[in-house]
Amino acid sequence: MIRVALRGIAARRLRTVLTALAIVLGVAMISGAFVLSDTMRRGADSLSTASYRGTDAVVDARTAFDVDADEDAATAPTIPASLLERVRAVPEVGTAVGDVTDLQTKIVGQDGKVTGDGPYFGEGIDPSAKGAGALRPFRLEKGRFASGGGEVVIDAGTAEREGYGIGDRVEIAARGPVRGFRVSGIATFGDVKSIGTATFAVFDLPTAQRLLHKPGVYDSILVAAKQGVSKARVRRAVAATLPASARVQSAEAQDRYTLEGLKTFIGWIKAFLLAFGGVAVLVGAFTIFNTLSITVAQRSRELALLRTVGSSRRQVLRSVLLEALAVGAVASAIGVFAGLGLGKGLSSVMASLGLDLPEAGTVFGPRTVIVSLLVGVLVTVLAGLGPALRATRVSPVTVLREGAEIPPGRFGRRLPQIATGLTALAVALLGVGVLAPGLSGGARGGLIGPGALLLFLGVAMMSPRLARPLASVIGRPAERLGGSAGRLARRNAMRNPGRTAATASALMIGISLVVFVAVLGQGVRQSTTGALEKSIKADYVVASTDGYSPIDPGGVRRVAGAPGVRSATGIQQDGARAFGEKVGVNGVDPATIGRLYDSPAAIARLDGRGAIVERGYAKRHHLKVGDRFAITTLGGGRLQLRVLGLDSPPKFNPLGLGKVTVSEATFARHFATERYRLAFVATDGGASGATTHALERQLAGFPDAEVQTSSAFADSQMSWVDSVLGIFYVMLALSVIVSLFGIVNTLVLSVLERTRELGMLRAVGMTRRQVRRMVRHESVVTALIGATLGTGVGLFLAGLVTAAFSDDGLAFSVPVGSLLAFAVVAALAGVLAAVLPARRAARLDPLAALQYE
Amino acid sequence: MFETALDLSLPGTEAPAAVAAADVTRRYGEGESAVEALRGVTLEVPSGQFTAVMGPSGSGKSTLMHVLAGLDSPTTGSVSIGGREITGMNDRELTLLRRREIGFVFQFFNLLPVLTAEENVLLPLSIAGRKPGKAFTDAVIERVGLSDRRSHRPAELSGGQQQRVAIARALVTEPTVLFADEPTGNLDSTTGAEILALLRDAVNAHGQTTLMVTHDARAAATADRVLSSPMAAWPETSSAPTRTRCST
Repeated sequence: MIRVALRGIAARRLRTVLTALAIVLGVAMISGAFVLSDTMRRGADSLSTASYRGTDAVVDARTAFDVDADEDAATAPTIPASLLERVRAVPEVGTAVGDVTDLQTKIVGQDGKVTGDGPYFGEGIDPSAKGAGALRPFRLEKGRFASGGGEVVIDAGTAEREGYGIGDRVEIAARGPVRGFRVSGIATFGDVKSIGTATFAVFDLPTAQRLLHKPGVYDSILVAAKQGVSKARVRRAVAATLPASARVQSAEAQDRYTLEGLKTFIGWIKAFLLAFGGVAVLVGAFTIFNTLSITVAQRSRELALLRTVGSSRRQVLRSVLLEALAVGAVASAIGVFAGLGLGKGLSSVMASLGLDLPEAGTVFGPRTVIVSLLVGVLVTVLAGLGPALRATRVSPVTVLREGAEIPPGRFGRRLPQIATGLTALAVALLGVGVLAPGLSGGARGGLIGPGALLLFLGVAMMSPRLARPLASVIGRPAERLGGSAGRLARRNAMRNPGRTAATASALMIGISLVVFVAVLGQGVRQSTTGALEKSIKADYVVASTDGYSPIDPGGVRRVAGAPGVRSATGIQQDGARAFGEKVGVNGVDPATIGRLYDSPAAIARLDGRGAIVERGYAKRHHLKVGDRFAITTLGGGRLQLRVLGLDSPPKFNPLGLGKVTVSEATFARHFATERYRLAFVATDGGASGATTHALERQLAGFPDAEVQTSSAFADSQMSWVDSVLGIFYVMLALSVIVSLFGIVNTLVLSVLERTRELGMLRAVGMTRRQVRRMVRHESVVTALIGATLGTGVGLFLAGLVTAAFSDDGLAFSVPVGSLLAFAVVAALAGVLAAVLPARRAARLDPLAALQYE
Repeated sequence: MFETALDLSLPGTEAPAAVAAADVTRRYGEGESAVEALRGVTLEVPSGQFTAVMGPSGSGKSTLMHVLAGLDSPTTGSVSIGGREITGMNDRELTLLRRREIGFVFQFFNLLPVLTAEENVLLPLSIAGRKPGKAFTDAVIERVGLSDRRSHRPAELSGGQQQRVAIARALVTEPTVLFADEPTGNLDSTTGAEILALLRDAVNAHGQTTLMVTHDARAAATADRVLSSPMAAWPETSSAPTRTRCST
């Protein structure tokens, strides 16, 4: 029987290759996800090692709560420089140096724009301190470390990208207007080749302190233990001498280069890529299932013959499963290695979308091989199980009858009920997962993931019922356009609804996810525009060129001084703790903010103790106007506030402003942040080309800030939606390609099955072109059925998620144009899938086709 | 193999030949293993008559029909239909020729299962982009006696009914010549007789030129003229290198 199975594969070469390709792609995606994320992870790990290896302890200011650098706009407090002498006096300490590290020190490129996309490391080091070299990750490639106020060392990636060499003048935007430095050296970060979108600029310590407005203070003190002293011992010893406002930790825990955030991000990318790999594998499973089902049906006589000559049911089952296993194993093995290439491809896709990540050598771990192989083989065999069981029901007598069909099994007869049950269960899981209040993120994911999977299966199992009416409707234009070829195509698509449905279902999955993200994207876009239009009353907005960094108050002051500017006001942001949780705090100028940004009237009365509180937040914590409450800053200061008014911003909050607003005077007294999140500008004559130009001139010294009209700003706030949609479309394209192989396969098998019919059609005068058109139309009808089902499922899922976020103001909006474009793409995909089968059908010699067996 | 020792053309007949073959040879394969299915066949199928080609399985009669109908091309010699030389036509020209000049009736009916009886009948017109009037359609279906079965699918029809649909499908384009390949081969004798009567009727009433290939002497007896392979009568004297099964 093994020989029968293997001969079967050899005899049906094209079909086997197409099926295998579907698995290869899915497995490659999974393996590629592992390769890419492992490689990035190794990059991050080596960054981590390079950064922290030589440092045994780090002293910095004690904070009142933990801060997540990526989420909280909170500036950590500093420590007085005088503490350094106390640390150095500890006998266990070998070397201790003061350190200033900043994440917003931007290097300006040759084109006058900021280079890189963050984090923008700026660091001050004291090269004179003995043994300090080991405390730093920087390894000079050329030149020497900076000394004196006019020099800087930049990273090798930036130097290469921008063509900066030793002795060149480079401008750096940190605090205040941009300043020029001479490149004294070019360095790498340990032995890491690329640090992704990050850049670094290293100064000598006093220069950095001056540049970053940190005179007489350090962000941290880096400590190396004396020879023979353990890390733990030196930490204990240092801790004993520190005042309550400071603490000592390991370098990894203190994490001054925010590498934990990078690792978290890499984890997200891995999950994201694996999810898409999973979708591709699922789509591949449909293709395998469908192909094997058709083959079993077509081979029913051959199988019956095997049964007649004495094969048991078990042997038939084994031969079909073995065929699936062989194809699955070979295809998965190819897929694993294809993933190696795909990982590289994905990394360049990421790079082209601005998600450059640190890279070391490519990592191809045993886990990658094992998991990918296992997934590929298991899925193939599972998908082959249904057809294999069906094959066992071939009765030996079939060998005597032409066109005998395999009787449906118990499962087959109950299919409609099972499909309905599955779909209902899926909807229930999704409903609870998305809408039920008070669930943790993990619990939601645990309900939504299986829910979506079941929904796909349920709809796929129901789709044979839907295929006939859908084919009938969708095929009508084809009939109009294609004449008799079109009419036959429509009938052929309706002829075997199970087959058409299974083929279309594979495409449905990809399309439904595309529709899902498109609808959500449109909702976010619309909510963003609505929210910004309602809130921003200014003519112009000044914000960072990268869209997320804070901007320097100096630039805003210059803009405020420009002729024709009536007022310019910035919003500062920091984090605090109140009611046992973190909360964002805004600092505003009470005199001007009300005219530029939609605010309650009470904002004008903000005084030293007054606060405006967001209405929802106030309600949650039972705060009314006149109530008092306390917040704790990161540095541990306690601040008593009184609610002066309640704010009702649009529910959708694209600017991510805090829930509590205080006057900028209060803010400056209690928080370390000096930079603005953004700033608003009102002019005498409103926005105009001349005014824009004048404002841009004012910002000439601040290349990291840009001025935009309020509407242009609103547009730029949505550009990320397009990038995210772009990434999703690229990832989902793979699943759509896999489902195309399914369509090709089904058509090839149908053409084979209809050889005699095709011969007759040619004999009675159908031209080759008409035959091709007939196959093509059938393909397009199948693809459009998939698109229709997918659009339905996608709209449902998007509606559900939108409903879950309706409290946050997310709008449900259908991008009709995009949906039509997807349908056109699906139709074109159908045309593409038909090329090979149509050519085969047209090539049939009518004579050969008419001959009897 | 089918071989005409005699010239079977009909010199002096008034009616022009609907189909004519001149010295047609059909050889399969090359060199040592080459097999000749037809050798030097010259014949004419007269217009308006019912001609039968008789011979047992393997005598090359199906090959002869395929060559005459332009489905297969002769190795040497030439074939013309309605006075037009078809040897050397390209695929497109042959397709249009089949569409306009030729009707086929097959042993296994070859109806499209997705179409109704009426749609099957009208299929050749539909492929040619022609829309027949209702009266014409009714007449064709009436002629084969299927008025009450027109919206049935082939699976719902008996073998005889299916063959009637196939005959109507062949007649619907009013072809220059109708080729029937063992039309009764898959039917019981009563039903077969009905089918032969239908074919006969098409010749009598409408002057439909018909060429039927059969190995059944009773079927051949319905025809006006029977051509039979001498090889069938005297297989031992075959001068052909090998007698082989051909495509029948």
